[in-house]
Amino acid sequence: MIGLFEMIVPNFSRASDALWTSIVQTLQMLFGSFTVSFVLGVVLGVCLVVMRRGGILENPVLYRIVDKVIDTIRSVPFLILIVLLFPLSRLIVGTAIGVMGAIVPLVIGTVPFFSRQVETAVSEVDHGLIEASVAMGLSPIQIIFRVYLRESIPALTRVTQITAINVLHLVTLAGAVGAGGLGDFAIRFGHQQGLRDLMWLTIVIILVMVSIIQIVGNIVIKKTTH
Amino acid sequence: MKKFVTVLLAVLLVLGLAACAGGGGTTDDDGPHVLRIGLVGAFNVHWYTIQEMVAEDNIQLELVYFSDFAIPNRALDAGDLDLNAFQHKMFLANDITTNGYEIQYIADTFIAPMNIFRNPERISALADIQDGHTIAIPSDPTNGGRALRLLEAAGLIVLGTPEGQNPTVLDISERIVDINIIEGETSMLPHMLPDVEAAIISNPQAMSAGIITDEYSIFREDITGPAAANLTNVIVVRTADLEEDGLRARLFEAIVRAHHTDRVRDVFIEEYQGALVPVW
Repeated sequence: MIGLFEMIVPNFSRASDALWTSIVQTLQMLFGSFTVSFVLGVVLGVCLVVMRRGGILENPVLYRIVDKVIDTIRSVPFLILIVLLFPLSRLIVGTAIGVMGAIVPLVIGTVPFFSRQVETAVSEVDHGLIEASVAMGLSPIQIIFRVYLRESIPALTRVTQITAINVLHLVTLAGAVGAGGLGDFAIRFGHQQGLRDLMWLTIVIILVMVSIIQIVGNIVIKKTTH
Repeated sequence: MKKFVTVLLAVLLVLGLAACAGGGGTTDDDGPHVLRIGLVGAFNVHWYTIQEMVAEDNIQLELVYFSDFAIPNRALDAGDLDLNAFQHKMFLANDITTNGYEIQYIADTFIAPMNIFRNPERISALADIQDGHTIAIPSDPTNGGRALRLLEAAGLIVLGTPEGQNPTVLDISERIVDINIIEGETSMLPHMLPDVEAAIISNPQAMSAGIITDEYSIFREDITGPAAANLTNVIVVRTADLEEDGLRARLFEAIVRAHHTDRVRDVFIEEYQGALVPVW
């Protein structure tokens, strides 16, 4: 078995430490940035739904501001976003490089995309249900948690899957500022140094991560769909 | 309707064939010879001068820019380019060994001595670098390997690779000073400098960041020794093109002739202020 593995991936022993480090870096960046992005994204996404015209907390001015800020950030290419956020990174986490330095741009790069997805997911909640809740005298906070969020768990899970996999791809670009990670490993060892076996091995590892995200998400969707 | 579709298909077919013929780089007798040259980075203004000069030799030089160093040699080998000028001899040799391209250099252009640049807020000289300090180096194999050799020359590390082979971080056999080495994308390195004690940055990027001065440089690569010959940048073409009827070789010669003039040297001196040193 080990012999076969070494035949398929002959350069493994040469770079196994570097590969292991890059797996850890990817997981750190994925979890570190995604937990923060998840909270911020859900908050902003729900804000967009309730503040829009006809929403339960209608506020067109604030809606427009949030809406435009999201569009603006989404228009900035990620590598440029990293550079623009260097000062903010240094302010928040003390450095702009390495895994820690990559977290801030990853969050800022993910939240606008994710909040748009959340907006779409939450908008799918039956409007009649919201009207009934208002008629029953539920407060806006109660409606957000008990109706909007609870009713859209399957849709929210779906957009979370998509976004988490997207973050996995953004993490690759963070390698540019010394954050390492699997994508960066594949580029440097596989693409630039021409060790194709390591490139394919990395792709398989990323595929495993993508599959785990999909499987876990699908279980949640199955359990919560009624 | 049927007729219309037939005519449309015929027109597309003719256009497609015409495009194929044009893409092959062939020209009719009156038209200029179209040559495509692959370049990387922002420091290629001298090519505008050369472009202008070779127009008189009936050569239409098209400048094609790439953002990835791994692509232009592949594009040249595959015939999408006729020349490229973005690399030094060591990078070329590496790339040929790795990928088996049938390409070779035809002329030297310039050499760009690498520097260790300091973060002025943290250190003032090479001797200030201590255990636990971080130095950023380029993440691509050739520039990264060159940067590691520079760290060795500066007496900070010892490498276990034989001379002539391209070292990686995995080849560091001893850290004389226990520094952390962090690898970053070439164009990101100037932005990373405030977060580290020192960074090794290629001259074009250092120049655009305005740090290519004696104030920032604390150690400079020796470009007079024999090892430095490998660091001379070159113009590269397909080997098969040189063996052909001789027309291509003559066109390439015209480009090299235009490059190796005082006029282009003046552009170097004015635009690149010593960061790229002409070698003709």
